[in-house]
Amino acid sequence: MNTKIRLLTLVALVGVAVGCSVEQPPATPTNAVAPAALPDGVQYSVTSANAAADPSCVRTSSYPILPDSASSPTLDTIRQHRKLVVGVSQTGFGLSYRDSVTGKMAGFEVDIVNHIATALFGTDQNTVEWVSMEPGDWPAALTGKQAKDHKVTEVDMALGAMTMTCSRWQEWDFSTQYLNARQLMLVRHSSPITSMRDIGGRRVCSSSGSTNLNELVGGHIFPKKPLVVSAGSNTDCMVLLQQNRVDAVFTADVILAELAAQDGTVDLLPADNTLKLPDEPVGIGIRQTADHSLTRVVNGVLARFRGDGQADRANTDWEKSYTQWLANLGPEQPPTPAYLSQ
Amino acid sequence: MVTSALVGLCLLSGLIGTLGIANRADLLNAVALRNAPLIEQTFTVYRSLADADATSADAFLAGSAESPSVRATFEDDIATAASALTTASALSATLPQSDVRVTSTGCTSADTLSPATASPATPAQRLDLLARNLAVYTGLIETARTYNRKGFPLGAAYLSQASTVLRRDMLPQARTLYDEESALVATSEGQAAEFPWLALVVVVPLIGALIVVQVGLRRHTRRSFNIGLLVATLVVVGGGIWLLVAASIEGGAVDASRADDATQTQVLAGALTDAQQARTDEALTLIARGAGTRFENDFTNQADCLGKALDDVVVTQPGIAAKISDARATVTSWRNTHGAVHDADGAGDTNGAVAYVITLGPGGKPSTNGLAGRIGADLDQALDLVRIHSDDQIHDAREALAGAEVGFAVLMGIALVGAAAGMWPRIAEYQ
Repeated sequence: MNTKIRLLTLVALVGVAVGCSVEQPPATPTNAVAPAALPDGVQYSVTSANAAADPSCVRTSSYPILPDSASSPTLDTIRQHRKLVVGVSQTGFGLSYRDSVTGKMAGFEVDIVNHIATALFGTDQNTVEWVSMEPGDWPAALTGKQAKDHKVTEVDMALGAMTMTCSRWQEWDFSTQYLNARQLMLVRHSSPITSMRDIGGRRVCSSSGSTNLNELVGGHIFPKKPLVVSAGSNTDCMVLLQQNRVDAVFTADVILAELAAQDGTVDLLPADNTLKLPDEPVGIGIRQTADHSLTRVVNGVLARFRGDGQADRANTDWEKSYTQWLANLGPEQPPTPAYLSQ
Repeated sequence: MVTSALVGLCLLSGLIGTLGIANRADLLNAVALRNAPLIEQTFTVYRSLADADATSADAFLAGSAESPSVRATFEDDIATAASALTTASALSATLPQSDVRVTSTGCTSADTLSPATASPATPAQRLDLLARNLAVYTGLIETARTYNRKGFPLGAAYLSQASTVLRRDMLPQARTLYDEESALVATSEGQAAEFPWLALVVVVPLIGALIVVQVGLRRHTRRSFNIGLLVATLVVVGGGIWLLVAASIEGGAVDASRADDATQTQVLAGALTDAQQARTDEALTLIARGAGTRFENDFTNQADCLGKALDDVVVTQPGIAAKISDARATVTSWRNTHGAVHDADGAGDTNGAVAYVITLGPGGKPSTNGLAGRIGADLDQALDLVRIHSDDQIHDAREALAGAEVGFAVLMGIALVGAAAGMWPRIAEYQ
């Protein structure tokens, strides 16, 4: 009798052990969400940039011209290496970019660099080392003050529609001005934003380290605060605009016009003079040395490039290059240079 | 009283022994039929994605002259990844949810970028996220291609975004899944290879009890043998020996698979992904978006890791040793040719540098892509050899257990009947 009960109990136990793991069907998601595949280095709700008050100076005035053949330790070293190391954007269509069809660097700023290389070495063939960088890389590349986690190749000079500012003048030199840019905004065709005054509460993108980001975050220019987004480059901002992740891109008109040239479904908002957006004189950022010799030689090259003092402005190198690369900005005159008295 | 104790012990032995074997067999079956294939599929996802990343960077380097073979490689990579994802999802649905957490120890730098999305926790969630991101990734790549064909630099921005999605959001998921499943297999195999103490704890007292009862009966009845009890004793002893022998053969095979093959697989798989990551980094030094030095440093790190992995791996078969030494030599050639790439790029000869990467190295030597491909093939073949060995071991282990489960239960049943039959005359005396 005992045995029978034990036997039954054991059989029952075995049955329970085997039978109790009934498999459940997996839960199937009915509305899967597309992952937020952001480009590297995008930051939402930026509330502070390095918006220290700009010290006062005459930001467009640079050092007086030296002849191409001038000698100085800086210039001699560069000539000896037969290599000018230049930081440029690789994605600034029209300004400086790598043409994906030819594989070569091309654009208005690339033309300027080739003129400088020719003045220093007699040729622009194999004498320029192009280092791709974005505004955020400029301070380290031009001063050598490297951040711990993000090393940047140090360069002799950098171009990239770089706005001449007094705070930057304290860190590195600027050449004389080679473009004059205005700050504008790019939106999608269907955008409810029709004026730069409408951006309150909208997501507006600028590249990190740019003056435009400072205007958005720190300035009191816009009547209502936008939601500020920073990206690694202006091109990344454009990608975000195309992907509906931001509502507007805010930067220099030269950059925006070239971004718009790559996409037929975006519009430049009209300029609004009541907003008092500062103009953006554009110069070459040059590593600072005590004698400023490289800056002064570059200023000589730029003077010839712009055709300073020439009566016939239509035949200058500046005009030819501008027509080739930046014609969709509308006709423009080369800027007039200003020099520091020395 | 004595009878029911003997019968109870027989039942208990049968139950514990049979369930123990069944448990081991289940663990091994899961390893052989689900975990191991899932690991393999996960690895396929990882390496085809990493290869797609490197290939798309190559296509960008080559400009609009994207060669049909590069394009075909990319498409096959994506197809392989998608297919492996589907298979892996099906496999993971059949596995019990595990709570294994692994902190990755490899040198792969895929996870240096911070994740942009909430981290998934289960294999199913990881696979789901991978599948959703794969769709996004291919969309970005095609947009990049279109812009590249127009000569527009927006293409580079899309390529970079695609590469970020892949390296930041996808590869770490595949890697973690791979590491978690490997850890899970190690745990399962560890359990399957344990000495069967519990069965022994019941079988030995049973044998003891049978002998004591027989000795007692012999005194009581003055008969030399009780046939029923003798049969029961012999059967229990035989069953016990079978159990021990089967378990130790199986345990030995599992241990062999676990100790050598698992470690080798881990190191070789790490080396293979290091090689692919180094190849992407090399291409990115030339595309050099942002700061080119970052990718040069990454390349150096990855190549160091690759070399270290190849030095560290403990090789168990001569066939594998040959592959490893070939891979090691190829890494040296790669680093030399990479030096030439770096020099050409530094000298402003970007097209020359690109040619060294894609077509032919200096002096007609193989391009760095060719060398990376050779390292990949070597490591693939080495991994295959390890896998075959490991599969064989697990197969042997499963063979050793085959039949033991039912056989032991039947033997214990016979012992039970024998013991009951042997005791029956004694019980009848009391009625």
